[in-house]
Amino acid sequence: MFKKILIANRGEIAVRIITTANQMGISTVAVYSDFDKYSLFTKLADEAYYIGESVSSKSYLNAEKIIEVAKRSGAEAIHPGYGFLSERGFFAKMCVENGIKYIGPGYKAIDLLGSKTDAKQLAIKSDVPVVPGTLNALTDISEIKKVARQIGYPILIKASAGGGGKGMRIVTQESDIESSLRMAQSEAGSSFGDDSVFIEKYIVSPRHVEIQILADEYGNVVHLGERECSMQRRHQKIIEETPSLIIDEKLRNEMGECAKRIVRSAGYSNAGTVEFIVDNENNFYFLEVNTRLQVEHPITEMRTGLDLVKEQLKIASGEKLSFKQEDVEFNGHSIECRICAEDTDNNFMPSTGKITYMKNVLSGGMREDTGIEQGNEVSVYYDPMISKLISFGATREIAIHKMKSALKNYKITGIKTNIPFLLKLMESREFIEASYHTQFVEKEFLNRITKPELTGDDLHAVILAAVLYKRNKSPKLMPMKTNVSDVRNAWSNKKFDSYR
Amino acid sequence: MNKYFSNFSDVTGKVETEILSDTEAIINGKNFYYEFNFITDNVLILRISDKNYFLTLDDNEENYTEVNLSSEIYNIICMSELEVLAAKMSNGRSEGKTKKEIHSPMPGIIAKLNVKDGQKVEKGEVLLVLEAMKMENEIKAARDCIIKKVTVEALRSVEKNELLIVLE
Repeated sequence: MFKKILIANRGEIAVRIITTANQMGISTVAVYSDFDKYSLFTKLADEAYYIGESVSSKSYLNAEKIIEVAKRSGAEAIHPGYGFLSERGFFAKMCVENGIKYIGPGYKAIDLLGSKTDAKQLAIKSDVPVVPGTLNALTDISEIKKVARQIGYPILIKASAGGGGKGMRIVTQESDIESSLRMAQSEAGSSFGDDSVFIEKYIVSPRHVEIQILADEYGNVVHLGERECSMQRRHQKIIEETPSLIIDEKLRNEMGECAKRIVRSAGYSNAGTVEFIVDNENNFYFLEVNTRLQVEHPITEMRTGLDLVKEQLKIASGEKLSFKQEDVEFNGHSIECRICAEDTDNNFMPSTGKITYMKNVLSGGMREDTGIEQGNEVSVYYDPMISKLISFGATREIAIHKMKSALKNYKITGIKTNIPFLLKLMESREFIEASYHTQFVEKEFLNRITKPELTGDDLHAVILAAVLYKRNKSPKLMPMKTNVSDVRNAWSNKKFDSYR
Repeated sequence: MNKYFSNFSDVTGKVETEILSDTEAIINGKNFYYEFNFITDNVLILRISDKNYFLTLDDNEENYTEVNLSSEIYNIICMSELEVLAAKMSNGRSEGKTKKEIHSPMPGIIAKLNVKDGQKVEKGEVLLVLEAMKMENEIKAARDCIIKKVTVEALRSVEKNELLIVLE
């Protein structure tokens, strides 16, 4: 096993990786930008090295600098986390060339699966069903229009080097194709450096279901079941759960075997996720392989009892998988909510600022993965996701109940978050019945959000709170002179620090 | 001056509150005992009618107070007697004209800057691309015009409402 690893990432995932490394007695090296100088992950790591300015192209995407720090610090391996350099074959290759183990698949597998067209061809070869569309990346507008007409609208434009919702546009009519193409290319180009796109039939109201796999370097592959990730907005996942209520044992095995076949054909090792879309008749189609650890991996950990980062480290250090497919046990139900700094009442605008207060009390069966603390700033430089709440229960109902309670009691001030939105989503009929699909949030839910009406004591409390808040801001009024002798106790109106 | 008038952003009808002391208030004509503590300026523990409330509060741009109760946010305009009076007196001024300045609609990074000082642009032309937390947003010209001054540089971060471009 490694003695020291470098984490080429930040935020909650850096914290997540460091936590497991600590448990395994592996020392950790963090790298940080100007913005992250005192962020939680830099404090938890054994060593921390400055790598550049806050803009990620000057820090977390600076491969040379990160490799240099790895060599200087004596780290034997690099964990890329997700995002940033995690799906860049050239970075995995640079690691190899510099005698550093990349904790993830080999660069050839990353490049192969990272190109959506190659991945699709590989799926077809591996006898895995795919969505109708182009096999080659296109750049010529007239050809794109021609192919779109053949497939039939609506179509989906995808930048071949995009991912995570970047560089993707749905086009419903030919007149929109040029502007959509430009946006898709520009989005993908600015962050990944590749201009080509490919197009495919857009499946209306699909479900997004993905299979977690683990593969060692000796050809052993297991799948760890599915994750239902259909609760999305603009292709960004919001809530994930496992198991998926539409997947039965037979379908799970079928999809699991497909996932295993495709990663085997790719010569893949380490953790990975094979994404599928499932239509309303439970036909599934291969979407893509994410050649890294996923944001939503904790729900699989809750249901299988495995630590995926630990498995990644074991595989990367050359160990064989210690269990077989039939040893994988699935228990209970797990849900993840992504808490994001955004103003959901105002078109999901990013919300930045200093977190002036933050408190949550988690009950048993709840887990929070976060990289922020009270007093931290939330900036525009990085992803708006500030925390992940994960619930686990023997049944789905229990897991939902725990999550709702945690969301209701989560206190955070200074920034706006999507917590009220998450709570409303969890209370929607479609979520309760598990009948939601990837279009649900944008096409149906956003149009019907209402605020519950306040009544009784709640109404009085909210009104009085606003008044007291206003008075508290004017020093003249607060503390106010008491004109009644009967002050019930001395509790009121103290600013007590002990609560902080 | 301990009377306040509160209005919900999405509900009509004013609620009148009178603070009698720091333990007693009249809300909507009814007397209440209460206890409270501000843990920070934005975090309040309030007991009213022996019920416990743990609330967070914040201001928003339109002078609303946002009260967060169990992760549901209620927007309230709360005015003192004096403010209601003042508002009545200074009624009706200021109107809109052609916008000559483009401000940033959100905090972000100038991912692309397509125009420079003195440049002529057409309606709908993309002036710059603002990137915020992974999403790109095109800022377009609302009319045909000439760029008087670009006040930002590419790849710089900008605050919400920061001046980006001045038009002729």
